[in-house]
Amino acid sequence: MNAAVTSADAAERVAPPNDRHPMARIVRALTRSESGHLLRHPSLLIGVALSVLLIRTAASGNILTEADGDVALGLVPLAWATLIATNLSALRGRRDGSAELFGSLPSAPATRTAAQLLAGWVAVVAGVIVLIGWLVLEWRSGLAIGSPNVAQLVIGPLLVAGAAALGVLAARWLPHPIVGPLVVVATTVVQAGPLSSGTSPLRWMAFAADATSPASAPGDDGIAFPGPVDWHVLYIGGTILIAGVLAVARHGFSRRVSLALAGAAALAGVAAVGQTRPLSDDEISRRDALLTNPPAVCEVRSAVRYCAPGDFRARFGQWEGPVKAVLRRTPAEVRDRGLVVSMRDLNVTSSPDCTPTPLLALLPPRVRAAVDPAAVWPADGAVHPDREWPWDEECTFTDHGVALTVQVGAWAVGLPPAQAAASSPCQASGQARSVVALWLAGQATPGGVRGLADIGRASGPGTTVDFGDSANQPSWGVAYAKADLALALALLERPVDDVARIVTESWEQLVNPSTPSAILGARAGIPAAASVAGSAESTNAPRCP
Amino acid sequence: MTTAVSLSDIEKSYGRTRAVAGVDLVAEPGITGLLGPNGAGKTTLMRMLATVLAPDGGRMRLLGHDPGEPDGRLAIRRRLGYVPQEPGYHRNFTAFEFVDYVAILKEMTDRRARHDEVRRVLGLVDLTDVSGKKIKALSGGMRRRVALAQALLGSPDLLVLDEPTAGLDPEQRLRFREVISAVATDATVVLSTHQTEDVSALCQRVVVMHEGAVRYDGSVRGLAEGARGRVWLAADRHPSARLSWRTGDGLHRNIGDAPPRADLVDPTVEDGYLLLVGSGAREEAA
Repeated sequence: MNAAVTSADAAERVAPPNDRHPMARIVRALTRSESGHLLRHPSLLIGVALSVLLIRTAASGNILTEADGDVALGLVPLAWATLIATNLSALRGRRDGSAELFGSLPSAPATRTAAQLLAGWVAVVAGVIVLIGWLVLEWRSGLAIGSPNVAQLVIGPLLVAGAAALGVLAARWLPHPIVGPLVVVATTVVQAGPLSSGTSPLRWMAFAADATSPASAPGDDGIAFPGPVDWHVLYIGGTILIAGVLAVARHGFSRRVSLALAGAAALAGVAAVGQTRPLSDDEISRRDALLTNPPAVCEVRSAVRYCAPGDFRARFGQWEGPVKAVLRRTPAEVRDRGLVVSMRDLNVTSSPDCTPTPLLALLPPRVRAAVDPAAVWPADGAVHPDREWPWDEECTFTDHGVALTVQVGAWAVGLPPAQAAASSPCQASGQARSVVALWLAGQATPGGVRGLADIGRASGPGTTVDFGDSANQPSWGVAYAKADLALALALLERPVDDVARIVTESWEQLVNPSTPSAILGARAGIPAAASVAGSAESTNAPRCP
Repeated sequence: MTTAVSLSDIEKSYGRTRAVAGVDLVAEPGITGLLGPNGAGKTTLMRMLATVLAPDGGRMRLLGHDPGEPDGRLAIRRRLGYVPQEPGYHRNFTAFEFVDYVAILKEMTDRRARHDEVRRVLGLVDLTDVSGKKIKALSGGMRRRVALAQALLGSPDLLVLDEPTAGLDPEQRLRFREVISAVATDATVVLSTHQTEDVSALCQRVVVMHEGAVRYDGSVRGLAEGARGRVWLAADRHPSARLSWRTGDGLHRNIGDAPPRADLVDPTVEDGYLLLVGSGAREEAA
């Protein structure tokens, strides 16, 4: 100890503040201290890393208007890590045995609890940074479609804030280190179980409720759809406030605490009503219009008409190259027929994972009828690319470039480009035109040969090519024969110009439904066995017109 | 001037066990030592002085305030420094961070002034060089000094120190005495300890507790004088001695009812204490 101590040294004082209740300033100072420690907590650092990984996986698509919800959910690992960290921080005094010392100090225990609650802001900021990082990367990729719903994104950081409050709440009322992990498990079970069901009447209570569901109005079965997402955000905010106030209330229900609790409960209650209340007729009409007649933009480029929902306008430039590459190998009269490339809006009928959304069944009959695939996906003769570009890890389709160009090729040779909702893909097995369509696609698409070969390999048993989940996303109008695909792949190994000359010179003959694929194989010098094997009819699908 | 500590007939029980039984105590600026065997009620009394434990009965005023009243308790805590018998440390905090954390809880919210004060008290206990080290990396003695440092924050008017020298090596104990004696010029220090040397060296007054009650309250010299005529040296342990041990020079130091013509020696505080607490002290002395 310092040998130069004098009584004068020891008598130096740091005057306590003059105000009688300096709680706010104490809480602020404590929050700063607690925040620093929370930021360095190993649990939090692990949570950030896991969330980054999860977002990379869950939000691999680039349609920001839809990925926002998945990305917000990507912060769940960070939220749980925050819960553990704040729980342990709030238990620190108990674990370290400093409660007696702190009990002799002038600051009330509630100040420490308040500071530990507020310290959760560092975890929230970490979550926001992760989200912003994701957005920046998406925007810089040049492939991003649309803008995320900010309110939907905000749910992610709110999850983290809620977890921080829950961690402190658990520490105050059930002060044992095992409780934190148990709360994580229990919350996960509740949120992922009964509250996560798309048809649960309580799904609005889930933090991660899909508040941007396209469902427009209360269904006939009386289940209320989630309302506007801002109400859901307010509801989550109110719930977090309740948790925080209850944590502070462990030290006593003062008048101020009671008022705060009442205010938080009122906020959560009002927001709960707000998101479950019946929608006004105007709002229902507006939403129905969005579903039944979604706004689309169209643009003509090089005599091809491209149409898509507004957010997807950026796809036009991405589609244009492969489409042109197909058409340049076709006669002028084909190009003059006026190709239409139009994206189908799949919001209502299928989810991003290519499964039908259960909410479709809950729509009012009039709206359900209007958005029924039979109504919105007619046999219109247009090319209908899906929304992803150039890949989609979640769906069976692995190459959206090929998905587009095969349709353009089919359109060029007179085959139905896309499946209509009311019909199955037709058969053109053994017809030269189906081989031409596949060849046109393969030669026009970067990586198209590999893409077609992959599709052939992944098709499994049977004689037709399985292009994937076409029932939900009917991109394929023709059930191509594997033998025709094999012949197309063989043609693609030949010099493009040589094959192109054959195709151009014999176009009229080759696109005639009565011309067998063997003719094309023979002209290209490909052995007949390779060109005809397996081309026999083998399914009950109708013949293509 | 207000009496810093004024206790009258203070009682505290845990179930059927009376930890403190009718204690009267008055302490003014300076150092008051509290001696007693384990279980004498010292820590219970110290916890009441630190306002973390309320007495079951009696009258208590600290720094002129009633700790039973919320406003009074707050006023006391603003002028109180406390080292618990087993102070808990936030092990992952550095020494600086921990003392700083306590400083915030002591309502020092101006960051720059608070940091200056933290540096000052860490300097007082000679921890400046290790202030950036995590507490879990500090030795037991250093941790005790961290506990003392936090108690010195804001130069409190009342310092309640429950066995603050436990775990300190001899040099650190000497330096501790230096710090506490300097503080005690203005403040009232109540020091609970097993170290009679600390009491001899530091305290103007000593209170001996045994079985929850005060057995002695007076000057340090008076405690030692209580044993005058009852401490003698002899070649062997004398049958009438209540306590006896062989000293370094080969003679037995006997304490008890001295026989005629005994070689009486000057008593120490320890002698007086041992005589006072009786059989309860024998085991400790052994």
